[in-house]
Amino acid sequence: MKAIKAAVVLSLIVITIITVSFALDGHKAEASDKKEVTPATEKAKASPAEVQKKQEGVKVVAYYFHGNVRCPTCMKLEEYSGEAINQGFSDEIKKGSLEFKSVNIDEGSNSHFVQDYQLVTRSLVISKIENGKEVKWKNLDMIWNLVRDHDKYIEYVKEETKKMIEDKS
Amino acid sequence: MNEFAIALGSAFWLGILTSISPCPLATNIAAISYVGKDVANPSRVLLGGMLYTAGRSIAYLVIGIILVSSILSAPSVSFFLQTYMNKILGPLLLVTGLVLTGAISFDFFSGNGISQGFQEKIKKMGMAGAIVLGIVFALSFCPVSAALFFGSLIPVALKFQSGVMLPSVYGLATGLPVIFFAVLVALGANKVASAFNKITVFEIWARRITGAVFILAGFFYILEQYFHVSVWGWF
Repeated sequence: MKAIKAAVVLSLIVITIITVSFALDGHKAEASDKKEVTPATEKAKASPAEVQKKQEGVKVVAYYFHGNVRCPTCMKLEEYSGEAINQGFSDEIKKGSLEFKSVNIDEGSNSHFVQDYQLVTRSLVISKIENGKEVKWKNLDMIWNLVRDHDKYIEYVKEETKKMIEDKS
Repeated sequence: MNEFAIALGSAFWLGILTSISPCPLATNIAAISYVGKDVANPSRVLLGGMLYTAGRSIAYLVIGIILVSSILSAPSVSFFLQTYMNKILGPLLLVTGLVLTGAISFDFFSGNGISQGFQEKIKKMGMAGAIVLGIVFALSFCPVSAALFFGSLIPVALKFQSGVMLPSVYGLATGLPVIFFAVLVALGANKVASAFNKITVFEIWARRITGAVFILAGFFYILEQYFHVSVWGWF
């Protein structure tokens, strides 16, 4: 029957697509249960002057990762994220110790972020950088659950960003 | 066992959330239209809806198996599907829409436009088509459905090493609203059509309308994927 044939052919095409993705994906998936990555560092006692010096090289960047296609919910996520960061931390932003960056991961130069942060979709990732090197990061994946509640969303992002800024590594 | 029952509940809830999200709306409407066009036979609409839902579940459980057995990683699969499936979807919907409206016909030997033979072919294609439609639409992830499936469901599936059951329940939930509305539409149209004794006419028009919906949806996706124009901004 022609109809069954058509269905089978289409199913085969779908299976081919999945199989091709085998070929494209060279490495095995890492079972990443950890969302916070903190390298093992010695927590030495620092004098006030040293703490000050250390904090000068510290910066937190909040990345909102998006693609070329901007769906309505995605736009809300970016808007709320920007709002939470820019309005909640105006001091830090002025000092330059906190930055909000909107990054398009469909652009070739940014695609590495997908594997770096194990992204599966539009995401808000906060990253702590000390003296030019990233020491900790966290994917705020609750944003998808909270996007329907503006106030809870803002609170969540502010909380997490505050924790990241204050956490001494 | 109790924990797994909760996980099944979450999977179901995630599926419902996915189906009511704005970004899969275009495909949901197209699916309701396709499944519901069998106005003369509301029971076939129910069957079609179930086949569509089965197609969705099959797609999700295949991905579930692939990810749970760690053959591929979630980011790779998620972005691969989001990038390529949606690009294929636009043209696919367009062509299917053209076939449904009768603009393109396989029946070159009939002579007149929509022949009886062609109509029969479309009817037969309908059932098998519902499964294929389910698979294709399920694989066309948009950012929200990707977040709910890859970001919320898969981590739970990985925890319980359930690549088949949890994704299937998720798939079932994503298809339920389509079944519901398709049957509703078909029953309604059937009642009206019976009252006027014009069931065949209604059926032909139902198919043409479905075709038009597919063509519109096809344009929507082509605009969004190839020209990065978001139709949502117009509302």
